[in-house]
Amino acid sequence: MKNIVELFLGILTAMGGFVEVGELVFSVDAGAKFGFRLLWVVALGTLGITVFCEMAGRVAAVKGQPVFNLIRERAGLNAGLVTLVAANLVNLLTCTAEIGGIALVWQLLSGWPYRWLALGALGFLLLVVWVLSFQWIERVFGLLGLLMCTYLAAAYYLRPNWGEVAAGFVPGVPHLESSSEYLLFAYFAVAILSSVMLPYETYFYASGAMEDGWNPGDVNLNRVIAIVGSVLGSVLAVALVVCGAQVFRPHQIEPQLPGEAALAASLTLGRWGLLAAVGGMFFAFAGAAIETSLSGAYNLAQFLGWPWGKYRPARTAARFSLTWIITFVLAALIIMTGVDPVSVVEYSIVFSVVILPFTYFPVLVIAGDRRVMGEEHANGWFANAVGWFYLGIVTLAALLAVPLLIVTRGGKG
Amino acid sequence: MHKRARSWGNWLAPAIILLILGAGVASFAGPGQSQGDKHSLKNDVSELKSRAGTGRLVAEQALAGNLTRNFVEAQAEQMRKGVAQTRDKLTPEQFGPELSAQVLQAADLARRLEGALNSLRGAGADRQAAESARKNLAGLFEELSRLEEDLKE
Repeated sequence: MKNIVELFLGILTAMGGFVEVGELVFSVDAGAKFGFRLLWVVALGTLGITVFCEMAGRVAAVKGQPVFNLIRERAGLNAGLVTLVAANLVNLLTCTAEIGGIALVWQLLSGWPYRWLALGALGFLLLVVWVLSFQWIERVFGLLGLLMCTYLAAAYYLRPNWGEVAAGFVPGVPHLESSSEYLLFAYFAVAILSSVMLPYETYFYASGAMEDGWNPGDVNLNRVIAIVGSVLGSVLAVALVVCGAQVFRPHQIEPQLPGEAALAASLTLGRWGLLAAVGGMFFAFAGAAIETSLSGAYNLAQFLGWPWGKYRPARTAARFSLTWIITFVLAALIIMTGVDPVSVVEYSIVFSVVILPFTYFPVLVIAGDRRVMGEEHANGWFANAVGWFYLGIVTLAALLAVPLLIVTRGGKG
Repeated sequence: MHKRARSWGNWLAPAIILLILGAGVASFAGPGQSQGDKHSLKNDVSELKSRAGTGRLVAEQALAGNLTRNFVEAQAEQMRKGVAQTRDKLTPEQFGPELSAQVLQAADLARRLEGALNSLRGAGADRQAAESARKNLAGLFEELSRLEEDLKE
């Protein structure tokens, strides 16, 4: 019974914690710009994040080693250090985007000044992470993030042509008017892939497995949570694309703000739909902000061999605790300089895709190493093949991300 | 496996540094730093049109009673800020002299759009003010659509 409850909670929290501000903005905008034609990228990314989260969780459960232990052990100090700095800079950028998103969402509810709300978000996040245990953080923000299911209901009531929706899952490039539109399509494909496969999700998932005390007996639990949680979470991303296509495309609107996405819920479900969507966005963004700050702290502590973990009292993991506090403070300070939160979201997504191969390569190598993982738990030929295929995909996306950012003028076309 | 891992460690560090530096340079020097052309002016106009369209949608939803007062105020303010940022870029110096007339027209429409979003923000529970803002935003959407079409040719 306990295992079933744990499985159920794990799946729900994985689903509720799937969407963050970058995914919300890019998914709705992708629907508005290209209709359902980018849905196959959501599916592609979902399979990818499932594969790598499952591997990272399995390695954590079997070897008791999270991602950055492996990176240092396998890549050596120099390459590991560069990966660490790059990963934590991207974590900081993503955390900044999430705090900006929280402030925007709170402003929609209260009407108060944005910068004060960013400061309030900082205080809230510090308090929550300080007071709540890892399990309660996961449950509160994962489960309340399920308010994002409002977008599922909205997508259903918007009555899309389900045949066209299904056709969107077939990989392909639509016929577009100009070369600049093809480039924009490619930029959005890379951005959607990145937003679904954000690197912090893997760091956090593997470290979380250790926080939860997983052991080799939890390999199957890991597999089910990684697969079902990611697939259900991606259904939310699909719903956001559908909302973008049904609400904004006919009006020639290219939504960029969280509040614009919430209009899809108000249109179909009225005022309560609006409030549920805004609430869902708050919990989703806050959950992602916490995950990115903790990921930064996990990465640094694991790399340098410090004691880490939310399960330890703060005084016995002081440097770990200080790191997540500093991440939150820096992120809030960046937002309070007045930087455009939407631009931060865009850059966090582009920078994330750049480091994806460096995150996933060590995971793939270790998970496939029979001497390390044992015959029973190492990747089989199929998992290895899928893993290498995805490594190729994310490497290609990483190489294309920067040129596409330049030629599409930051995704403007 | 360790040897293989160490060998990729040798190229991993420079690869990451190159990619991050490339992304950083692109972020700061890439979009928006060079003199604008017809295409970037069209993009700015599209962005303004999109804001006008959203503003109209917000006004319609407010009139239907689907939005809270705070939501309307905050959403209108967030969009107004975005319009102000775009308007700041719309000076003839930022674009070639052959585009002066269209740039000035776009800047004028941006100013009017800011005003309309301000009206929407202040409409509160006043249905007449919200309806007036809706009509104003719908008109601006049409004007911006026409300018966008002109710039496509």
